[in-house]
Amino acid sequence: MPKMKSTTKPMASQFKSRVGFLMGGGDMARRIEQFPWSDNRLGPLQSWQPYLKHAISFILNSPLRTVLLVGDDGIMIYNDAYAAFAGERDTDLLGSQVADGLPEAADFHRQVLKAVLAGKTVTYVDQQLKSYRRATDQEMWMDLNYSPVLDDGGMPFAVVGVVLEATNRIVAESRRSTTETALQAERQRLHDLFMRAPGGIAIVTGPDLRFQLVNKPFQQLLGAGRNLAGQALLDAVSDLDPKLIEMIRRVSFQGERFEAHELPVTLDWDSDGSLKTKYLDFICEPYMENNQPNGLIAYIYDMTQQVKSRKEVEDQNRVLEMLAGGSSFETTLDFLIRTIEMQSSDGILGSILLMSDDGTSLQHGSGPSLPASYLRAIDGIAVGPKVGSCGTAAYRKQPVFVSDIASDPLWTDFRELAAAHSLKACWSTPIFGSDKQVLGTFALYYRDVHRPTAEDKHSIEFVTRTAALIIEHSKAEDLLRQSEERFRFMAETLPLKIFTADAGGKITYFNPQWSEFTGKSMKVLMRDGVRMFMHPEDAQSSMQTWMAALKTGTPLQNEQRLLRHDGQYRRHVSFARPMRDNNGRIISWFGSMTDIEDVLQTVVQKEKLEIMTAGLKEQRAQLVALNNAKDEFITLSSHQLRTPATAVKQYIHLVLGGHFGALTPAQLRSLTIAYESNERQLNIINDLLKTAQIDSNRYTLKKQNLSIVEVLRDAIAEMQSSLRLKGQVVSFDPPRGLPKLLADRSDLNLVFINLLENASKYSYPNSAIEVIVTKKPKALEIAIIDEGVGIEKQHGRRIFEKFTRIDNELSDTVSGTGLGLYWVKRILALHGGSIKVISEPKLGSRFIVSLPL
Amino acid sequence: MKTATVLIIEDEQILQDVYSLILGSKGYTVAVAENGAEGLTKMRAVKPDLILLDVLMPVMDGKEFLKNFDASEFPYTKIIAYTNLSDRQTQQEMVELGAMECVLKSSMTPEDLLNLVGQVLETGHKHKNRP
Repeated sequence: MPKMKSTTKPMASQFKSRVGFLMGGGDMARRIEQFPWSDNRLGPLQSWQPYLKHAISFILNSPLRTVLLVGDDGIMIYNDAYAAFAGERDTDLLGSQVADGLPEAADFHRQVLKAVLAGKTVTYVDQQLKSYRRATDQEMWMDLNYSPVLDDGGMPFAVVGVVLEATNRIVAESRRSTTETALQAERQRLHDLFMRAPGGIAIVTGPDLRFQLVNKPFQQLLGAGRNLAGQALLDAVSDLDPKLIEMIRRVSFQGERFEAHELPVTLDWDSDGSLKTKYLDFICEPYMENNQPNGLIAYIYDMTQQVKSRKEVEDQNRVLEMLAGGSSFETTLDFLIRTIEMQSSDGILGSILLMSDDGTSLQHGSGPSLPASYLRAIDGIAVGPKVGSCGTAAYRKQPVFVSDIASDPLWTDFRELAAAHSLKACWSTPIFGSDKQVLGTFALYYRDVHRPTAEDKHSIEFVTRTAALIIEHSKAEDLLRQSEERFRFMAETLPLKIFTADAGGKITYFNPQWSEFTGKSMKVLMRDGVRMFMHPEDAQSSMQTWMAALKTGTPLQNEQRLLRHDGQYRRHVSFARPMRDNNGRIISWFGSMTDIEDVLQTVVQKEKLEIMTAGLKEQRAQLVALNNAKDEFITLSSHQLRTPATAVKQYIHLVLGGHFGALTPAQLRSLTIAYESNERQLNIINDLLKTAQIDSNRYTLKKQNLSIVEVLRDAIAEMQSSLRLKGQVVSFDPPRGLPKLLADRSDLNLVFINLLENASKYSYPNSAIEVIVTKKPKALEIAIIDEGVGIEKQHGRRIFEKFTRIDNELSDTVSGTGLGLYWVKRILALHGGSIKVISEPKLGSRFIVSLPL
Repeated sequence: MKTATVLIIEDEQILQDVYSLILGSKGYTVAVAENGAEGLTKMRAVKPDLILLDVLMPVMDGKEFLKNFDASEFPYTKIIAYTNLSDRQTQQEMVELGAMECVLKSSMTPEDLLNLVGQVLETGHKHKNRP
């Protein structure tokens, strides 16, 4: 046999086979035609049975990696996709027995052949296989599906094997990839879904759509009773929906592909005359002959079970949502029963009975469609070995299926009752709680003799499971109700005032704590209500809030003052909350009032303080930041202003000193003015900077113990020369034994220099200045008294503000920036001291400094 | 007698000029550095007897200069910090970092400066904090 190089080309190929069933089969079709079959067990091509040819045609047309293992020895015939997968191995595989072709998997295939040829379908998920696609072996995860192919007699003659890349891997990779590959993966998933589970495959061809090939699952799906192989589709499945027939024709003759997910198909599936609906995943691909569509390949997967399970979950969710939404127990049970009744086509009637607390009888639970007289009659039936279906089921703790009430001994005592209501069959199943105790029974009644199917049993199982949830939920609610009884006990021991009121707001209960607090008897309290004890300012708004809560049914929270028996109004925080029944109707209100006076005095106050402090801290931090920025600005700008003035000072001083030669008197005069003017500018800068420094929160005092007398003497001495110029004399005669001060020496010096300077500046020549120190209990008072121009009353306060200069008869002769007294005040404040001024215009001023001891 | 050498570390050119002029007029050898970093570099070549050190300068300020200045390498070099920053903290810090004095530039006349330089050179003290 010539060595053929396999290609990865899919179905379409240039090769045109002269052999009918190989037409359009791609590269593999040619290889099959050219293969020396005469030497093979299968014999020459011409001798092959039609069903083998159809099977081959089917696999050659499949895009999936598909291999046909024919006969017990599994002669391998496969398609292009499989050939590509087999890679280098491909050359030896065609026509070989699978045990020879793939010796490493001989045991595996022997098992597969044995099982599938016996009619089974075998699936292996996530198998690790080697692909020979490339030079090096490549490990791949594969899903393998093997199903039988039937001959004309319905016997398996071959195995069709499909190799799929593991779904998880595909999906995971496709998520990383584009939408397109995601779509492909979804399609792959669909394929995979029916290939993995026993999927039905069939090929129908020709104008009358005759079944050419049917696999076993397909046959089983359509019912063992139907004869399919070799039959025309419309004869074999005559009850098919016309719409489906139309679709089948379009696929078969117009070459359209058809795909449907969970398509409901109603047929007499079981060939017993009853129509049922199955949900199918359905793929129909045109079957090509001579490049013309002439039939179809159908892949069918039965999704009925999945769809039903999902619907059940949905139903159950709806029931649970009802419960969660506050629907009553009875309403929810009725809903459940009606759901199951509507889903059945047999006219069933559902009933739920509930186990009594002592476990001896069954009480009415639900039966929305059963006659009321019947329900009354069975309400309270005993749990026992022979009490109809329900009493017996509860007794046996097992389902009891009575398909004919008229003849069943269990119904002896109830036969007439059932007959009177035309009930012919009754199946009852116990409802088990989570701890396996019997909560009740669920029964299905029929108006004719009826035997349960597997499907019925499934529905029953669903209802009992759901009913158990509902009943247990309701029991939990009962427990809750019982707990309300415990409430009073608690209410009477808790240290808060508790009340209950009816839906209209009428008080129904006060706990004894109310009497204790108000000093009034319960009788008076019930008559007068809470309002009597409310602070008049709180009463109206509190009652309005209460009324609003009653009207809207929303919980209330409030605060008001209540009068205690000793006449003290104490603050209370009040809560009220509505209690509702199963229908959401308000049945009562529960309220509490808690005395928070003591708490407010301590904890709350502390908290409020903390909140306030935190707020202040934050505010302060912002101010500090702002202030720091400002200080920084002033410091740096002062520095910048000083630099050129410094240079001016140096140069003028050098010139004035004759460094650059002698000066004329005019030059000397002019430059002296320039020099002084520059000096004044530097002074202003110094003053501004000093102000900024004093204002700055970073300004720190270097405190030390010092004698005020010393400080004052130093300051007076420093001022002496300028005082002498004006002929002014300072008298200072301090008392002995003055205590020491804790203060900053240079700052105090600045204070008194400024005060003495002012006293001098705003006084006439030859006037007297007096400095007096007085010891007060907790402070030292230093008075600086002058006989100067004095200060008008209206300026009294302003003089301590920044940049204040008061106009008076001497102010023209005085230079200054108006900052001195500001510094004085600030520095004294930093020391915890103060300054005030007493002044009489034209008579003089008395500045009194107080420094704490 | 060899005249004393003064290194002026100062970023303002007008002040470099005028202080060079004042000190030069009294016979001091004057060298100038633009900032602390340049000052450190020039130390080896200049071997100053005294440094006039500004505080606020770009690249490396006076404080950083004092922190990086190796007093053991120049045990006889004295440092006068001078600045137009008049806050207490700056002046205190400069003295703590090793300057013998920290004076306010704008308060000094040329005579004041010459007196100060003369006094500091005369005292013969080593670097203040590194005996």
